[in-house]
Amino acid sequence: MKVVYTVALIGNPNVGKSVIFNNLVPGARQHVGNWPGKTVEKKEGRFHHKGVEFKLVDLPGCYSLTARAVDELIARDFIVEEKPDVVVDIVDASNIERNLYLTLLLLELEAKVVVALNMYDIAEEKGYKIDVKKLSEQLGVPVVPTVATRRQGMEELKDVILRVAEEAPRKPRIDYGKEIEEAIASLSEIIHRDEALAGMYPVRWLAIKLLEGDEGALEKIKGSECENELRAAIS
Amino acid sequence: MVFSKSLGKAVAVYSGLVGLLYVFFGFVELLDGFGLAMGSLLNISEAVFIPGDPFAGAMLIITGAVYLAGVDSLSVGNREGLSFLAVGVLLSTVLFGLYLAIMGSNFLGYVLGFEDWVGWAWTDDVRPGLWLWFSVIPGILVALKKDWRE
Amino acid sequence: MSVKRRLGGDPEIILAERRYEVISEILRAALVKGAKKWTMTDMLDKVFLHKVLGIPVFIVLMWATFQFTFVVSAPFMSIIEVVIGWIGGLFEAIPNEVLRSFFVDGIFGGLGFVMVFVAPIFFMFFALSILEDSGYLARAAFVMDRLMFKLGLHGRSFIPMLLGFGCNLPAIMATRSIEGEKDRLITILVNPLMSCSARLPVYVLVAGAFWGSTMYAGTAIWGMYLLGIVLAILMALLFRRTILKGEPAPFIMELPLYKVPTFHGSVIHMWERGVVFLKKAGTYLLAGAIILWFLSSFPWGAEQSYTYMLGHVLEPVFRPLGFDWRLSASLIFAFMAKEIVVEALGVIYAMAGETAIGAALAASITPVSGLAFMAFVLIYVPCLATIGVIKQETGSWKWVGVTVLYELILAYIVGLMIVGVGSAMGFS
Repeated sequence: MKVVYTVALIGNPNVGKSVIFNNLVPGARQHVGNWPGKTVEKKEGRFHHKGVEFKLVDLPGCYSLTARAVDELIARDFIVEEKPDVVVDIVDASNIERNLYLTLLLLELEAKVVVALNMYDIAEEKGYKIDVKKLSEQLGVPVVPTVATRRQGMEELKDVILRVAEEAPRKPRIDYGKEIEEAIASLSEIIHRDEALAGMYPVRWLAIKLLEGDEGALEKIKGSECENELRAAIS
Repeated sequence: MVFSKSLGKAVAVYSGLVGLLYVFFGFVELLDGFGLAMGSLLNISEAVFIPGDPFAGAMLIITGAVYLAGVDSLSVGNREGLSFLAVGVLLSTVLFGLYLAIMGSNFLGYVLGFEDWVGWAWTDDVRPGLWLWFSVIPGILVALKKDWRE
Repeated sequence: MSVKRRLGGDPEIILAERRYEVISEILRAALVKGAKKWTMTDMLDKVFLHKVLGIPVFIVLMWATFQFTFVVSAPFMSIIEVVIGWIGGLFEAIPNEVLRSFFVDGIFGGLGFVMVFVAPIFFMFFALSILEDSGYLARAAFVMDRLMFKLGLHGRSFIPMLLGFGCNLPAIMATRSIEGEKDRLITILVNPLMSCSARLPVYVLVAGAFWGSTMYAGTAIWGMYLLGIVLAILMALLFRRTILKGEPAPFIMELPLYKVPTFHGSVIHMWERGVVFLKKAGTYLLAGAIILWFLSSFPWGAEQSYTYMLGHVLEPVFRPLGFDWRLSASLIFAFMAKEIVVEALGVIYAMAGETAIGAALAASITPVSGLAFMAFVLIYVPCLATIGVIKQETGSWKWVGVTVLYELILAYIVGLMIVGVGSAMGFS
């Protein structure tokens, strides 16, 4: 039981992230600054729920978590390094296919994810029907339907955030198919041999990133005793 | 209300007519703006108030083209043809609003007695983009109807 | 065996594909797509994103925006002018000569003239807010993307470039939405070439001086805007091929649903952006006007003010372009903000009113040089405020240096070309 839990807000641009941020943290208690060393805006705030205090951090809106864009890197580094207690992924229900891409990336990062299925009203208008329970089962994380502009679902969201913050991380496993999983497994094995490295970063995630040739991941393995072996394995 | 083929045909004819009007007066304004006075057309110009701004003329032509583009699909009763009518109506209204605003602001300048506006008369600002809009009012009603069924 | 071969392709691409496959499976279980209702957004997008009609429709909306900005704001500009003149008149009563001159000539004469342009600036931002809030601007960027790609620019660069016609400051800040770092950098470097509203007073003054209110004046001004666009494209291509090599990042964009913009919301956005200009006015332009007044009025009563001396020092540099010492001097001051050129010329010629300055200009330099001057003002350096934003957005002085350097060189070359071609064609 911590004194203050850190909750990160993330999602694609234009999904209503700001609205949800404002719903959870009223304007007066918000603090706007910059991410250190960058020109991207950082918004933070605090809120209480059932006697527990939460620090809410607004991560930049992004479609993906590559090392190529400043926004994405900021979001990714925050999750990897600060290890927030909960990551709330705001998904636009009316554009769910595109939005779930980021969700999968967050699961790869082994973050403690809660999905806020926002703009539920617009999805309905478009004629979509989403089985929230099934979605939650398939993803392996809780899903809370919300209509942020009407403040619907906020209480439930806060309940779920509290619950997930206090649980142990789940490690849901999404299967990417035989060949990829084999490649990931062999890389993971090598990473595990460097205990320091394996302790700092989620192993599976690092393996995936190395497979992709991610610049940031390649930086992270520099100086590791397994560096050469890893480089050989992905060439 | 059902968007039937016959209704589509009617709307197509209407859209075509409006489109042609816009294109025609667009050309007149365009040519007038380049100073190519064309005999009888010039008389029409003066009669229906066409200040010579070639760009304004071009804008009317484009607007007309949008209406005309929809004629094809509307005539076979395809509800999607309404898109062209809708956007055409939007453009017409934007231009109408713009010219109204221009007239209004010129009026302001005149009333305040600023030197650039001495001798202004409201008729100076009457132009096709302004009065053609009245012909699209039926189109607005058609395009705004939300519950068309195939 | 290499990973690539074992997997049968680039791991990054394969992983992306797999992720989408997983998503499809998940949605197969959890999502039921009802009869897809044909929304207003789909209906409008059929035309706005149309392969043939998309760009013409965009042109109509942009033209309407510019007309709104410049024509409808005209009486408001006059109102501001009158109000400022009236307030300035109150200061005429100050007995102390220096102090009086400070207020009347320096502040109200110089800064006051520029404040008139608050009207078109706010009108433009209002129109742009409506376009943005309605969701249309995203479509415009999308439609222009294919064109921009061929020019070595990113589709997302479009909106910042467009905003540059209003003011380069918010335009450069808008580049934050561009993903690829190189694309973003190119857009920032090239943005100052989009002729901002600050340069317009200069064009109007100079073009009006030589060509009055004939068609040629209008053409000259249009020509400047066009020149800016052409140069922006050329420089973007140049940068793409040389110091910022690479492919534009793929353009994925979310098209928000259309919605009817609220008056309230648009006014707020207009205010947010317009306020930037007001702040700029309150600081740089004011400081500029004061410095300008000081340098032009002192040594007090002397024949040769500091400005005179400054101008003469620079004159040899600009002689090939045909600028006299007054224009040379005004260029230095315009470094603070381009509107200052007009302030400067007014103070230097010690006259007030557009026609008077215009006549004086026509008497001192040739029309060809006038044109070259307009082009020079368009290109030569970004104003101080813009430089500040470039430093802020790129995070280094290096790119500021690159911008200033390339623009100075380009401005001089273009100026020479104009004078050269003009003389060769017999206009002297």
